[in-house]
Amino acid sequence: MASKSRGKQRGEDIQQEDVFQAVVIADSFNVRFAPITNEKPKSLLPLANIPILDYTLEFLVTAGVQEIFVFCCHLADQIRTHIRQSKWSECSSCTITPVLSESCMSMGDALREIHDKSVIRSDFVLVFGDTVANLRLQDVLQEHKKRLQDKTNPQNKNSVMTMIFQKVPPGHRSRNKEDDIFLAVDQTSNRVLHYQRVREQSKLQIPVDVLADNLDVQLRYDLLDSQISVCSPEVLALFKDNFDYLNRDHFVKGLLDNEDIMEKTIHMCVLNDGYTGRVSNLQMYDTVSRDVICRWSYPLVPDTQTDNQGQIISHNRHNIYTSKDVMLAKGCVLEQNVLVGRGTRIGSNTRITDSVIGKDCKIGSDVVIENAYIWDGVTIEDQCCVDTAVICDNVVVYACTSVGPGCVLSYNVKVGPSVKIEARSRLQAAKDMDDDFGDELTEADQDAVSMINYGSKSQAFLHQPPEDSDDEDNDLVQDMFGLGIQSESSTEASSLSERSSDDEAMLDDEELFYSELLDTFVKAKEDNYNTENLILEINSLKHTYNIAIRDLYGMVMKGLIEIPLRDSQDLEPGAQLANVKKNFVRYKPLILNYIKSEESQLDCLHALEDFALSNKTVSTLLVKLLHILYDADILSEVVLIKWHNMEKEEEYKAIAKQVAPLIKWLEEAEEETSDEELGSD
Amino acid sequence: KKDAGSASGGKPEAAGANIKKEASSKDLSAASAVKKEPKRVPDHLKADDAETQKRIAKRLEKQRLPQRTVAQRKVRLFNHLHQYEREVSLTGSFSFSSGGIHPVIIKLGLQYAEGVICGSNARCLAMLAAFKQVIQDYTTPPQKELSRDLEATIKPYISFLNQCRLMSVSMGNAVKHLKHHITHMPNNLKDHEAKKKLLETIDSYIKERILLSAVAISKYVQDEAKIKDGDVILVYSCSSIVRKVLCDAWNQGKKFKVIVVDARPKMEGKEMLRRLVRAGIPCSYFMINAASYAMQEATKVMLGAHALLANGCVMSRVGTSQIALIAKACNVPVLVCCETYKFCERGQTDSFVYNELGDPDDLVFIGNKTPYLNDWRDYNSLTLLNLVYDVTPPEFISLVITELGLIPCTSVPVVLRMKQAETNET
Repeated sequence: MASKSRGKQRGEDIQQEDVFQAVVIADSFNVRFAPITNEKPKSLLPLANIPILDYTLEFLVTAGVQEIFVFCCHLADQIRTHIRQSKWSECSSCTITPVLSESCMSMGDALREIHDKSVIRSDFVLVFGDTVANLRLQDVLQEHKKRLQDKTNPQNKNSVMTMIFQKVPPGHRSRNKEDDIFLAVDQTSNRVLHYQRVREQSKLQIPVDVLADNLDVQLRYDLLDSQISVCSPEVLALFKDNFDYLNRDHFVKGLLDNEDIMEKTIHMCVLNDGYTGRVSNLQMYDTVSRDVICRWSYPLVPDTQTDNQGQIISHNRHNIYTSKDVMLAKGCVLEQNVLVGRGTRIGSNTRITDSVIGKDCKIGSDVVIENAYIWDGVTIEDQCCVDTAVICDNVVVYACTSVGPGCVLSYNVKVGPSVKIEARSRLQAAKDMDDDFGDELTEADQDAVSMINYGSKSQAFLHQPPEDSDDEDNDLVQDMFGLGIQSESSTEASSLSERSSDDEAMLDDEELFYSELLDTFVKAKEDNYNTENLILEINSLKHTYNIAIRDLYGMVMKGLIEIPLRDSQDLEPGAQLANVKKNFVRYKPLILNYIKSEESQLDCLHALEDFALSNKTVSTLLVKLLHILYDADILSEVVLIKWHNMEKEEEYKAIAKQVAPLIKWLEEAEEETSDEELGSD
Repeated sequence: KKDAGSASGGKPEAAGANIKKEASSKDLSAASAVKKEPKRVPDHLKADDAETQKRIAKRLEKQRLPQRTVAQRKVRLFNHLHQYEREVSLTGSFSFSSGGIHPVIIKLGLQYAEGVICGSNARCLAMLAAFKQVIQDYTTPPQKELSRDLEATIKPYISFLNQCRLMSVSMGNAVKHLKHHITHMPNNLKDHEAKKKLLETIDSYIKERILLSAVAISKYVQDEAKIKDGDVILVYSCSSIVRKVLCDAWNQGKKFKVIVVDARPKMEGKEMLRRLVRAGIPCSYFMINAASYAMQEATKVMLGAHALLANGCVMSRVGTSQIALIAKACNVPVLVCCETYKFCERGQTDSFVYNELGDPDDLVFIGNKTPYLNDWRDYNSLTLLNLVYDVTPPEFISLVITELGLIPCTSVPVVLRMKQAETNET
């Protein structure tokens, strides 16, 4: 009986393994590459002179995929023609079918469409059409299948998706800021428990039950999401059922949140060797191009791939790739990581480093090109300077023009001569038409756009990104192309600055609260609030900003000192002090309401200390302030002495010295009183 | 990087050396068997001699030091060198009550044995720091003289350190220096005065011989313009002095590139690469089997040294001589940076007479790939040899940069003699 069922199962296995299918989403449903993508779909943009889609298809075919469905919507015809003309059209081991749909607005729509066509019969690989990878998918597929066969563990059996990750430490250049993820995984079964995009947040929240319900949870922030996943056919059905799933994130989140109801699970696997990168924005375009040039993506490197015209490229020392018919004039230097396409001429004394240059380009003499991506048929005249830019097909850069970092020159743009193009400008050859969104550019805008001078022979217009970004994804992380010139030190520096900005975010609440508090005091003075109302207001503020009670004491005190000081900035110190004193008297009930216990007095003293450090006036007045507070019975001598005797850090020492006479006086006074008491006894 | 470099260049040479070695070791064993001149061969080269071993064992027992288990599988040609099995605990036999060895020394010994502290300079500095601690904690017992008793105290410490890992030449020289000062300590000095004087001696040794030497070497490189704009400097493995020289030159505004060549099993070049990259120097990284490919674009080779021998040979991390050979073949000048405290009176023509044998199991691990040597102990005919150092002949070396200036490596005896005179004077 058992053997029979096993046999049967094996039969099924064979049937299932018959076809290894893949779905390629050849559209990113965003406008990161605008205006380039207005004319050419993103997946056909050249990466190291080969369309990105070819990398993806090559990867899938090498990985043993037999049937590929390429889903295209934006400019779908171009993709279809490209596939027809590509070398895979006669490929026997693999059939590639373009699926066209102009109406899709998201990846969810695309998968629903594919579900309707019911072409997917077994487990399939889901990738984006902008992936460069050389992973061994077969192993992942086997793992996924094995999991489904596992009868003992229902969680394994209900797995619908295996996500593929790679271990990449934070700060690595191939980590895309937009795709930074944080993951909670069950260590033994590799089941994904929690999946979250980090998006430069400093705080992450994990649902309690993730930690409570599982024994062996691993929290990981060292993974790069390859966005490649092995899926069961049910994934399509799930997308169909939940029409609000727009992308894979929604899907994963939906499944994880409703795990109990849907009874579906998601697993992950971490591949240690191999390369994966997604060209999701210009920054990543830069990174992935470099990786390809530096041969991390071997065998997907320029010299192993030939396009249908039989371009042969040779690989030389320092990763210099040149075609045979490239003409290099005397004195021109290709430093490192340079790819030069067929039929390109480069003039004398030109220096090129870390760049890709396409076919049939003409580059003049004394040109400096660094870190630039120059596509086909581009003309760059003498003495130009191009730094960190993308220059599309048939662009002309006239003599003595400098193209600043982060620039994008779209098709057929002409700039120059003798101008400097500002950093991060995106130029196109035609003016922005009224786009589909219907928000016409105002005339003032138009004027402003045409005002900028791109040289006498120029034909260029600034591209204005649509104001209303489609969804929250877009505006969160603007691509950093041209900003981060990746050297070790600068990444370190940026990570440092990030860290400090995190701290700022933490402080933010307190700062906001404090400024609000000051406003409240000012208003209270103007409108003559009574103390009770003021206390009420402060308390409610405290709750809104989630301020610890201990911080509150200090801040109230600080506020009460700062307001009168601010009002009497130009006055003599004596007058300022009088002002402060008046304020204390006025708000004494308020102070007493907060500062009652010894602890609160100590907190208040610490706050004053910090305040004195940051504010010069306060530090000069500190002793007198303390005296006033002591006289007003707000601070007791015991606390003052205790505070003074506490261990201090270096910076506070000066303050301690300053207040020493006061403390001494206090101590003496205390002794006297105790003496007197003794005497009276 | 994928080019399988033609490593064959070194092979015939090595084979030739092999024959020579066999001959020399035969001579050696013959010498020890006949015992014509027993004093000519020091004890640490007679691991194959039962009687010497017995004597060493006895001495260790007297000093209440643990004995290490001698490796069972040794390459026959290297029987005369000490090799030990990797042990779970070196200090297992120590009891708390015995109180024989200062804890600082035990810690240091373990760090040596585990390879936490490695590199000639680092080991020497760590040892001197440990001895400073020992001297600070030392009190002369009543009715004894500091100069005698302290030396006797330190002796077992040194043999313990030697048991953990063979002492480097730099350490040997430092110990010699220290002992000299201990024995020459005047008897009329009070305990704390003598201790203070010794501590000062150690401090000045560290400062003058090690730290300032490095500064001086770096300055010589600067002054003599040994690193110029546009240079491509090939370095091998990790050397603190080479790193310092390169970083200083970079900070002076020289624009050059560095090629770091590395080799298994220690992969110390990675650390070198990390430090150079952190300093902002453009680097590339090769494995030693591609060294001949990398050499084609190098303009200079800069090497560190474990020791400079009296006959002008450079003893350094294994692989160095191959690099020097390739450099010679490509007509690339080889510069060796070495402080003079690493100079040694010994002369050695090959790397076999005297060397350190590393743990053969270090060779089993081969990175991400599945190791295929895991069960090498099951094959009786298979032995793994893990030499730690090799000796580069003087004809491959263009120049030695020391704190005394730029000298040819044949000048080692001169430097040694001058030093000798110096110590005798003081």
